[in-house]
Amino acid sequence: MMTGYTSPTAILAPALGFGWQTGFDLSVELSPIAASARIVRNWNGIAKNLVDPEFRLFALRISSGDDMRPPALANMWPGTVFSIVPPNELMIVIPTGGTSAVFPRSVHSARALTTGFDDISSSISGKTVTLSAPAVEPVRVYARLQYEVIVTEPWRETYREADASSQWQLMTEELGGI
Amino acid sequence: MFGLQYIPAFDTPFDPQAAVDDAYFALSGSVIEQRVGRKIEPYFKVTVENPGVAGFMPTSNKYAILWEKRQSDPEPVVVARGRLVPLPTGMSGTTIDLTYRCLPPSADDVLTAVADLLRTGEAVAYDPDAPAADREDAELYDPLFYSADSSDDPESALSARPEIWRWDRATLALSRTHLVESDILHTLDFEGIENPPELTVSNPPRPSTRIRIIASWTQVAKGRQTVSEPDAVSTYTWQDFLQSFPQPGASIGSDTGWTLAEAEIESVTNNTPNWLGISGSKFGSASGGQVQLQSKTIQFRLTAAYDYQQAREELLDIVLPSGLQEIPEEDDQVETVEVITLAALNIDGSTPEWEYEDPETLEQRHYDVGDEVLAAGKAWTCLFEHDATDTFRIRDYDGGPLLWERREKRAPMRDPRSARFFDSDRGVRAVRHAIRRLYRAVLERSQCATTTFTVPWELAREITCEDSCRIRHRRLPGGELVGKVTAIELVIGEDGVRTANLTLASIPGSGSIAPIPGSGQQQTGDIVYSTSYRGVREPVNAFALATQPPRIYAFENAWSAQHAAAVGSGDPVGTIGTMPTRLRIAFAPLREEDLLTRRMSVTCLPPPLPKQINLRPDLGEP
Repeated sequence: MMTGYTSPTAILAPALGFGWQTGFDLSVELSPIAASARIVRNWNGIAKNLVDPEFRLFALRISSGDDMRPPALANMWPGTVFSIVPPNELMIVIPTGGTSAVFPRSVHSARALTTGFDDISSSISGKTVTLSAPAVEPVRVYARLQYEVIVTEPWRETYREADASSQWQLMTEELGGI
Repeated sequence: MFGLQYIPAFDTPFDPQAAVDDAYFALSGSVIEQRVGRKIEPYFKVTVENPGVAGFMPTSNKYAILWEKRQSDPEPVVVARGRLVPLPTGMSGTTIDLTYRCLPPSADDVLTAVADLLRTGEAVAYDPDAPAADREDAELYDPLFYSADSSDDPESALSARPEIWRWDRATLALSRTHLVESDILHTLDFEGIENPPELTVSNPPRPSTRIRIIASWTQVAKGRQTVSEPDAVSTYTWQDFLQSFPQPGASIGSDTGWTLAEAEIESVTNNTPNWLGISGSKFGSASGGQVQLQSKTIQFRLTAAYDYQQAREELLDIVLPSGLQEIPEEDDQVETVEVITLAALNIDGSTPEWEYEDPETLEQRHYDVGDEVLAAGKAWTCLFEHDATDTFRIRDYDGGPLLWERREKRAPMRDPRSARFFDSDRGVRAVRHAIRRLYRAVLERSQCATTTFTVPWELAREITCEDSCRIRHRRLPGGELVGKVTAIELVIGEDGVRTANLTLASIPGSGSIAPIPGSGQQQTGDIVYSTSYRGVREPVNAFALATQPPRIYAFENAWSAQHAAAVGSGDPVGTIGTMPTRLRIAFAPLREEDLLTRRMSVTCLPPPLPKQINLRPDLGEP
């Protein structure tokens, strides 16, 4: 067995089967879904989002540059549901005196940093990251979250024979639901 | 989040703890409640993923609850419940539309039964001067204005009530809601979204609205006189008197309406004979002699009978001014909304006919104690609970319990001799009912300002057609309006959009307060009115006929006159023969006209209408 040959990507998604030679040069794009916004203004000009909070969901798009081998796309038909932890970090600021940050999804890993990049000790429980002591200055909490996603569009994979490279793209959105 | 949960029965209580959403994969939906005629029957539609092979009908559960739990809701809330009624169209598409009607089982029967409770019959004794609360029910429904099968149409029970029937979309309970007033006012003000409210004012009532009611009946007086004095006459010509004595039924005069009900010789007794001298050549040798003449006293009895019929008609015009703000008008100042011919006044139209079975369902009738029917031309009250006998019988079998007892018929006009209706007590009830009907018609038309707009879902979730709303917008005349909700559509969009489309109906009223009746004015509900009735033409006083004395009642040539003439005549027999005793009777003829029409009018003061929208802000603040 070849040791030390692990996937170059930090994405955690067993369903995609990342491994050696898969996951070079990936871009992972994270954004709220389009249906999370339907902004209207009332007769006094006050803006309001008509969409229910249940629609506050993320879209996740993974596309590769020159990869060497594609991941397990064979059964990634639109509608397939799997769980993923992308490498993207989301950040919440804990103001001075605060002790915790609540993220919209379960936290996979997190680190708490001062604005000056000093580590602050913290613990993770579900969606919450709690500092071991109240913040004496604003603390930035960076976290990687875990998402349950559904494939929303047909994937694409382009294999360039000449340089034996593979380019692929997978579009997903969060499944949603309570 | 939303859920669609099937329930075993229409009234299964909603259990928030057990709220599930396992019926379908639902994509979108809408809940609709709107005024149609005098009814509000809400329904909701859900677009779901087609379950396909499994079929869309849940096992035997026809009722479903649409519930919602917002983040601000501690527990899930019932938005609507209803019965999956029509088969969906496009049943093999990717999605299917299911429609649920928010009505309990046998909703029509429930509505009919409740409506019938509002139908106040003839059984009440109506006193026009009683306190308003005691008169209310009788004035709000008058059987004279409706046909006997009116209970087929529950909406007719509200003809004079300014109300409409409403089924609650969440509880499926039946209630009535006022056309204009409501307990709850939602202050939406500037919360409307997107486009400005769309305001249309159409078809306002004319400055005056009129209703005409026609009461026609045949005034009937039939009977015999109550005075029946025996009389007697003494006469020499008793034979002739007895022979020409009339028979019962003989008419008095020709075509006068009077006949003899009774004509009877009670006794004939001999008086003391009289000796009278005769003389003259005619008697030959007997001249100078005497003859004995026998007079008799006849006791008799006569009673007159009368038969009077007169077709009568009363035309009553009721005029109600609109009570609206000054708004541009059509040319026509007066509009007649209804011409109503009342049902027969002399017939008991409110008691149903006895039936063996229901004509529609063919179920045998069951009669409870106190049920009232008409049978064999009479009115009856049930004394003993029973299933209908195969023909109408007072006892089912010999010696059985008495099933029915006779009672007086309840005709609106109790006494057919009456020459007037609308100014009788019962007539006042009819007049007031007509005013209420007119008021309802005008009130409904006065809700001529219709406003439609959109608000966010959470503001409208609790709003029903029972409520009123107030909105404000710079482009509205006067800047704001209040209106009764006539339609609401709650939209659950497929893309997560939650909105509600509302329609309000507002009255551009003058905002005056309810008038207080002055002298000569009367009041029914909020309406104050005065009457202008012409006198009744009564060529014949039908009530006095029973005691009316004959115009002539005289004896001619009674015994005393015959005797006086005979004494000195020399030919007493011949003289008496030329002077037979007669009784002359004459009554004033009962003059019958073709049709006696009486025109009457009622003028109302303008009704107090709320100023829900100010169409004339140029005239200054209210």
